[in-house]
Amino acid sequence: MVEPLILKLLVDTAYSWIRMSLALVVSIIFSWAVGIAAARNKTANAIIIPVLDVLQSIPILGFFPVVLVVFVALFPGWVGVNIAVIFLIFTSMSWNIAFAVYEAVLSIPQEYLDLVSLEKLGLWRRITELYIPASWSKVAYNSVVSWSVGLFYLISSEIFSLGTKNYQVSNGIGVDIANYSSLGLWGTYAVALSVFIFAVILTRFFFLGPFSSWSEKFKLIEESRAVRKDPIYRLYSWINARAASKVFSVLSRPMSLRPRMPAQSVFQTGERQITKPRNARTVKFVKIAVTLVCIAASAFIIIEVFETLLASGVSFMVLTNKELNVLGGLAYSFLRVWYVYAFSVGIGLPLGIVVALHSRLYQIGSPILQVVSAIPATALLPPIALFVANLPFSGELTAAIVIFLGTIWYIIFNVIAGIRSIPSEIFEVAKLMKLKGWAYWKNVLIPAALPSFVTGSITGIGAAWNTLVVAEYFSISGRVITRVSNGIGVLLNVGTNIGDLTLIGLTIFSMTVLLVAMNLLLWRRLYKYTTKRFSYRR
Amino acid sequence: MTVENEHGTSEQTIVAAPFLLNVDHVGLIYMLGKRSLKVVDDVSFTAKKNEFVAITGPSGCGKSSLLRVISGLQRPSYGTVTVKGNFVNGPTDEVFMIFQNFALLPWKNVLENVQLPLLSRGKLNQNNARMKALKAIQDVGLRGFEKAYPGELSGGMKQRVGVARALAVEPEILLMDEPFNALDGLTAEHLRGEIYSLLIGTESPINVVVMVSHYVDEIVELADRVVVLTNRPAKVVEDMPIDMPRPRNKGSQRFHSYVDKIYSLLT
Repeated sequence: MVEPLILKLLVDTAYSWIRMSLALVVSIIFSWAVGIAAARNKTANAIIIPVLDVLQSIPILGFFPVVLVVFVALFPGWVGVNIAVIFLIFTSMSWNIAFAVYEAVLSIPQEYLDLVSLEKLGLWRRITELYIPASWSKVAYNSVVSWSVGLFYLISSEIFSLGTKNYQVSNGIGVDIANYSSLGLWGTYAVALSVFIFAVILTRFFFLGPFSSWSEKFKLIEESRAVRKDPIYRLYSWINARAASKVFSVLSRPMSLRPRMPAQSVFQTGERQITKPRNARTVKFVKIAVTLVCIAASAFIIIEVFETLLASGVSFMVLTNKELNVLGGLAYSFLRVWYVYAFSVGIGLPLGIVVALHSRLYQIGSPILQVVSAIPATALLPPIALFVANLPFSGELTAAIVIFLGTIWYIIFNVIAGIRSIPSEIFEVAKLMKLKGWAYWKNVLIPAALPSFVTGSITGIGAAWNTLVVAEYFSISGRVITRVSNGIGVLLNVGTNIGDLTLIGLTIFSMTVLLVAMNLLLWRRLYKYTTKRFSYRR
Repeated sequence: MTVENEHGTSEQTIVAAPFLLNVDHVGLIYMLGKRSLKVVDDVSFTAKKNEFVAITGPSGCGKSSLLRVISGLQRPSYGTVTVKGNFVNGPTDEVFMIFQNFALLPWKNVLENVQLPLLSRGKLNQNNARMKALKAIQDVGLRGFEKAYPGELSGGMKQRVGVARALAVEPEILLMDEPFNALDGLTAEHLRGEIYSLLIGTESPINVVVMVSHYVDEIVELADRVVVLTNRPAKVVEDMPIDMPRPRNKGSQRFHSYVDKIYSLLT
């Protein structure tokens, strides 16, 4: 009885892991193509970097319904569904690897570039002999990160697919987790979750770890040791890199493409960039062109949506209702994300600071936190839903808890990394000044944590939107498990179930506009301000 | 008030009275898992009023750790430190420090950085703290930069803020941990030229300066006395006065003989 279960779980985990591996391989190949092109070619750079920038700030999970419909239409049956899942994981994995390749190729020392010129290597040889080897260490480092992010998308998409009628993934550990919980088999659910966690740990030790150490030998430049020693920082510092690139303004981006630019300065906005690009005008022109194309494309989509609606005989009143619906849902989701974020900050900020300050607590706490944080929040949705089922506002509460679990780690880990990177002299001077209690927190700890806290907030809120899409409306095999009163997650699910592409399109479009606007107007500025004023970097 | 005047009184007063700082058989042992690592081994020295003491030794020998023991930031494994006859068990009001990398808070401007310890040590109200901080900022030559943030200042100016903060605190004993190390040569030269009169001037409330440094020239230029330590574990190999009139001529024969002497002790 037990053995077939374990066997089934192992087989399903293998299915899931094959999806993950394929997505990782595709991500790496994609990253090489895109990253090398962006680093070595000005025109490519002007197109690729802004596009990546926008793409990575969108909650990809929101696109899943569309992706499902498209791929299943192209490849009917299980092939299409699996490609859709792999594609989704790929989109979550690839951005930071692509930026890493870009960064790695940009930071190749000039001597190496001179060398390949002297040796008269052709483009292909340059790619295989220099660019790819030079990027291995950063690719491996970011693969560790991408794997964790990918797991969230794997589980979420496997679960998500169960909410739809026609597009279900047949085998996968996420499917098992969702199925057993929906049947109320909590023991089996716990076993499935354990198998999943076990697989995560095994992968870390036997694949990602060796991959990272293998890639170390390809390093062209020594990196600071201190940073790499810290396990938490090592695992989660990608967040900084990723968020840094996320908030990295397209417009204020230094466009100098001189390859000897050190890696660090790639993501440091403004200030330190002194050199002006040689043909800035061309680059500017391309940028404007790209922007215009984007605007034209959006306009086209909107017009298309209108026309489809009109053609299908939908009256103007209904359209207005639909738009209002979407705006209403967006408002609900927006508020939901922000109050959950407020809770995450209220708990994550002090908790992160306390853990970082006490080395004993840090040593014990960090491995635990790492394992717990590796569990995708969406996998915990079923038991949470059951747990709060009898409380008032149970739908809202479930969604809030799941989004909270999807958000808080980014706050905690970034705050820990921030506090641990404070120079010891600062702690010493604070002691000599006899700063204690609230004065100590107000004058030293909280300001010191701010830059990394903002970074954590940016990624955390991104994660919150992604989690929200699943958490707001959760159903298995047509049975609704949780449902909040209103929100984009509800709209997307309803849209998927009744096959209303217009509703899905409108929802995704308005959500994207909102999030890109938030990034531009709020986060980018906050990030710049805090890194300028609050960080120890000179 | 000199030692000579006290000849003839009991021996105890001779030992205790003139020394503001007394480092007495101090040792530091770190535990690395089961292994113990001796960093400082039985170091003793004293400092009297208006004395500038330099501590030097091979890099990584435990000089900075010793300084942290004196400041009360770190407990010695054995031995004691007394300031004006009182045992040091933690940070005290009599001791403050100037740091190698300045230890300024990036989110506070110059004025706020300088007045923070005045407020946090709880001796002054906002207004008095401000007046005292402004005076100290003026003394180190940073007038007009009160509202500037550390990130906007050069390394030399940052260390001037560090000096101003220490002056404003008015400690009996000032500790300096490689204070010129993070500065470029010329900037360091300038600040070195001014620091002695700033710290041990007639107006200064500071009575003892203890500086850790591995630049021999710097030591001979500034210090009244030098304590030379051996490599880890740090032991005192020499505790000698540098008897030269001020300002000291770096080209003089005497200067060079002191430099050579210290170098020979270090190697």
